[in-house]
Amino acid sequence: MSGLFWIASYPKSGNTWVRCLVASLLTGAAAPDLAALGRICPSGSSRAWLEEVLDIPTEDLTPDELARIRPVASREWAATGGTGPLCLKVHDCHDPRLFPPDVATGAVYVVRDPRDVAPSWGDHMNVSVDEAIARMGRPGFILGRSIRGFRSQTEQVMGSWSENVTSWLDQTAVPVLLLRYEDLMADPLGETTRLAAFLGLAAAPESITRAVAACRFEALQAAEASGGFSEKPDGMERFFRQGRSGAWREGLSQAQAARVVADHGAVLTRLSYER
Amino acid sequence: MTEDYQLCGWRVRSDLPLPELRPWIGPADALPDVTVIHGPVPDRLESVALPGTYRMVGTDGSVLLRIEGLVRILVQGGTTITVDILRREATEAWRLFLLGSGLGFLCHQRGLFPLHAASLRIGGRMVAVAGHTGIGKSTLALELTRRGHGLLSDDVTVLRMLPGAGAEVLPAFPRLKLWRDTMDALGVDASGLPRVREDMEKYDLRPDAGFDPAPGPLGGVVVLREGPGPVLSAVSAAAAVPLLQGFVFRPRVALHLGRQAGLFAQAAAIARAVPVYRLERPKRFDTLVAAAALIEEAFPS
Repeated sequence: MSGLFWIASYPKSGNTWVRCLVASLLTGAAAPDLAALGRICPSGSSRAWLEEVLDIPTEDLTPDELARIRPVASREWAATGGTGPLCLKVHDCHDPRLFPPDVATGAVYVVRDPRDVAPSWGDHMNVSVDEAIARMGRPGFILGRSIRGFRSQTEQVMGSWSENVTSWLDQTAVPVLLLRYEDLMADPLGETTRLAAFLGLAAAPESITRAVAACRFEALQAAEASGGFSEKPDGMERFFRQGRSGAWREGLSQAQAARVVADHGAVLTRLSYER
Repeated sequence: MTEDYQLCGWRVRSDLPLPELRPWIGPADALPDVTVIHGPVPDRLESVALPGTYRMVGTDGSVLLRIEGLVRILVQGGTTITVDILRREATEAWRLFLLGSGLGFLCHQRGLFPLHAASLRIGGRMVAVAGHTGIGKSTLALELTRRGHGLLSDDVTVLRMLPGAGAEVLPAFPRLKLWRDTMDALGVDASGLPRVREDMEKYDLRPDAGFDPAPGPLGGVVVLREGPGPVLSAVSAAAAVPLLQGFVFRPRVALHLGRQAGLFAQAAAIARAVPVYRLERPKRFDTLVAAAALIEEAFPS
């Protein structure tokens, strides 16, 4: 199948893992080339990608102008066609103005227990776990809003963690495949098979097996150690940190875990996460 | 009311004020090389060779740039630029696109080699500092101007091939666009400076003390890259050819104007004639002084 798919998630929820799986499936189950990931499955908020697709400079565009050109870039990229699916990574809440339904074939939404997201997200933003939890609970939270300095990504309206999840799962404009990080850990073969089918990739079981092996957490960590990863923020030790589920039981205080449950209880229940 | 300005050695006759540029001081009887017309520009081209929502190339080689709600710019024949200002901002932001992309398209139509680079006069030589958006060209250029080197151009360095060997720099205008974070880190006072856009704390600096509009031979190219360092290393002529091609300003338009072979030959000629260096540094302000010193060492007076 061809067409555009949004690979959506809250940050640090397995989006890059899914992108690596997609990239591997698209390249004959090859080992992930992190340097090529931004080309095979680009980020929809990346200035470099917007400039590549639209062929205009973005450095002097205002945040509002950048927000207006993003859906146009999706549309132009989708129109370039190709034989396989085009996958675009996004962390924004679903908004039909940003993600015009007629442009896309579908969306993959990747979700992870927010208690595991929090420490990783804090590390990524270089803030404390408490601050990360506070931001995850903040309605309408915007990432990367800056009018004082250059950012390689445009601002992204992420909303709270719950808003992010429900905005994608409740919209009915495009079909959504929900992938839980924990399920992907427990049954990578089964979940990747579902992913390949949703994207319309005619991948043989052997190539899915090989793609899963090529994208094991240890393999991604090793790839980052040897070649680096341009999407790692400055100052962060490594992008691929732990690759575990349930680590919050040791890493989060009771109060921190309780705060996440208080903020996101309804969505935790909906996604069958324990409370 | 038209004014005559100089840009890259050309006489530019403009309906619209272009305060970034110096007034024309060449021969009074010289014909204008480039004309800037303030007038209506269509939303799209009639016969399109390279489509695009915001940038189109026509089958006749004209290039249309649309910045939605702000300006439409049509560049034709390497000589005529029509500017349709859709919204007046106090900052006259339309000029950013005329003197940026517009200049790049004009260069491609004229068969020149526009490099995505700032350029400065360092140790008596004209040096281009190339790099992709956001890598810190302007920041490094500011540091170099503070060390007494004259700024020749900011984002686009226009190169013209010399008969025989090498290329010359056609100085554009001395302007740097700098973010507030950068200015704070470098201790530059932003108060009283104009912004480039109303909604952004990005400022328009005009360090024109060392600007000289006279073209002169290109002395070398420094390509910026993020990495450990700062460390400056020479690039072989063979490796410099694709490297320089990778920093052609607005390359897709060039491709559709049939400039591929021409740009390759020009990149090869530049790589043969002048030293090309790669300057790697972490994108941190505390590596800036050392990076500037490395460039000075490579181009001693």
